[in-house]
Amino acid sequence: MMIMPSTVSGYTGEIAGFVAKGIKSSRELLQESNALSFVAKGTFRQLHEIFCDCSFDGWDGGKAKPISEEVLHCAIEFLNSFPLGMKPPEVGAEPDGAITLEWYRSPNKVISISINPDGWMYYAALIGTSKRHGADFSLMGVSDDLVGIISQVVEGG
Amino acid sequence: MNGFIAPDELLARYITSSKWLHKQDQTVTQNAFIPPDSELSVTRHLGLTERDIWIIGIQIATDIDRHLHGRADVKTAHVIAQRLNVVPRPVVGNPNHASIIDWPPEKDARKMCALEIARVAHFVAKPEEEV
Repeated sequence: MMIMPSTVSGYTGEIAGFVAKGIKSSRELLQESNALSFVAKGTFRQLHEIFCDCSFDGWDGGKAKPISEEVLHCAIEFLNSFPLGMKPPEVGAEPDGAITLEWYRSPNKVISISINPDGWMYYAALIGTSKRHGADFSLMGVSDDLVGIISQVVEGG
Repeated sequence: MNGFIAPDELLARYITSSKWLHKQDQTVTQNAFIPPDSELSVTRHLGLTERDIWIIGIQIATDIDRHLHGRADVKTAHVIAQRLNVVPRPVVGNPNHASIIDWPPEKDARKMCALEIARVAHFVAKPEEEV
């Protein structure tokens, strides 16, 4: 007897498997269209421009470290994990070799995320008088908590 | 050069990347204030004319074949408020060179310091005419 794999909902059987497969491919399609939306809005082009601009030692006029291909790859993977409909970030570079993704409304309402050479992602946010900062592994994708902070920055007055 | 940097002294961070400016209001991003390692280079205004400050910046940008967009000015007091310190580090061609030191080891904490400094920094665009 063929054993059907259990779905997320816990149901087994041919129909449940078919539905689960459909949900999975729909989710992948949505993620792909979000990535395409970042492409349309120029985010990936900005990433490549930053990489070309800052891939040598001292690009800031000081001791800046170059942006590596590894960091570029991590930033692309990280952006691909964003939920559909997110406003695209401004892309930048930091002198320690990180690529940054920033959502900015004013000097008091801003979040900056750094994708660092070690594969870690670090963020800091100012939302009025509230401050948030932390770290996560970039290849794990964006967390719900971080999506929430970004939404607080880009939405509202 | 005076070894003590007073809290009301102005420090300039040269902006050699357009990506260090927010498009909508020309304020400086925190990226400009992230140190490459343990120190961040700045130039003290002390005893310099506007022209002198721009000449140093243009030289720095020319050395790396970059365009100088301007500079971000910030008072030393705002840097110290982040529990950082500023020390003189004169170099050839820039006796007013200084370094912001004592950065926290955690990158996210560094970013928070940089965001706070960027929040109060004042961007001055490089004049169009020759300096």
